[in-house]
Amino acid sequence: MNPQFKKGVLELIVLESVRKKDMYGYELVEEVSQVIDVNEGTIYPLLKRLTNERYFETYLRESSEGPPRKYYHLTAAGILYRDSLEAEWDEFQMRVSRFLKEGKGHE
Amino acid sequence: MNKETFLEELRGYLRILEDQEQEDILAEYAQHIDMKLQKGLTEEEAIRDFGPMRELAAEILEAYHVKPEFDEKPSSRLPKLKESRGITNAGESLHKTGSFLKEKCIACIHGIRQGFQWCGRKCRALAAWMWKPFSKLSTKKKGTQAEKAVINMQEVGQPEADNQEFLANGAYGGQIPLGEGDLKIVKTVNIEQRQKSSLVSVFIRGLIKIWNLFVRFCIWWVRLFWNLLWLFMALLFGGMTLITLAGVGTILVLLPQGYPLAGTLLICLGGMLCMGALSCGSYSLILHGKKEGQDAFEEETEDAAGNITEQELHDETEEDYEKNA
Repeated sequence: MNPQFKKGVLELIVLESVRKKDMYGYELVEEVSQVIDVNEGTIYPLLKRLTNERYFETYLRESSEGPPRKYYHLTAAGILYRDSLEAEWDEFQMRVSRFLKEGKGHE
Repeated sequence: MNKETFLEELRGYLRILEDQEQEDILAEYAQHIDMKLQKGLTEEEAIRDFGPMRELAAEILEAYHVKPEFDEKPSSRLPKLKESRGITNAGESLHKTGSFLKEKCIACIHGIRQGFQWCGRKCRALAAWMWKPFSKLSTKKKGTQAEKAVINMQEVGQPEADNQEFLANGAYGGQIPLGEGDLKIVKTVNIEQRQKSSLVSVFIRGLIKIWNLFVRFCIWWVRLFWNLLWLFMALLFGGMTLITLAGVGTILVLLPQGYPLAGTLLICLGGMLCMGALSCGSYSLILHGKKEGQDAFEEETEDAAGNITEQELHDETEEDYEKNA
């Protein structure tokens, strides 16, 4: 998949994943990897950025194995942002697919 | 690349961020690697999945809205890190050299101080040595003053009997215990003397003292120079004698081998004798000078003492007559 495509849609996938349930970093990486093939390292900076912009909040929870894990939780602002992103994505995808279909109709 | 080096290198890229943020991010990556290890991957493989370090660091910094050109030049940041390490190393070595220099400076100053102290001691010793002749003189002067007092007594106009008694006591220099009456006489004499001594006599006495000191000083130095000069001459001529002796020896060895050196031998012999005589003469001059100096010194002190007493005697008798008149 084109990395430029991936980069744009990655944010929406991460937001949607955390909306379903609170997750810690590695769990989220595995979840996202199932949807799109992405560089694992790039998800952490994204999480960091979304946390800095107040779309995520974090808390630590003890784990049975190893040190405590940092869980990400979607805030109200995050939910709104996710919804607007989804709407943009839908419109974008619709226009692109319609354009592509129109092209096919001309042929 | 193992986990440690990866995290360390990543920290180098993230130096612009706050320490807390750096720790936060690095903890995430450390945990990620640990999870991968639990799944059975090696550290190498886990880190390879992160992709190029530069791009990863750029993405992390982008999340903080750090200027893109800053992370465009990660290489310039890394050398800076190394440079800073170099600077700290240099600082340490500078500190070391500084403390070393400090120690050496303290040692130097200590040495110089000791040297100065040594010089001071030597100077004091030299001064004491130079003062020796004058200290003798001052003791002598005290003696002459006692004599003076005795002579003055005669002129004061005391009854003859008392006078003679006093003279007897004065001649022994107070070594014989004095009676009460005698003590009184001595006191009165002193008081009268003080009253009589006018400004002029004090001035003359001071002048004479200074002149005497000056003469002593000059004589002492002249003697020293005289002796040093002749000692030098004696050594010089002695050395020349030895040289000519060596020449004579050489010629005496060469003569039997047929060298025409009879004339040179004669010259050398003559020179040797001459130089030897000069050396002996110089040495005898030293001894002579010493004795002469000693004699002259003693004679002069005696003369000076005599002069002083005579002069003062005259002055004071004159004053007495004036007062009586």
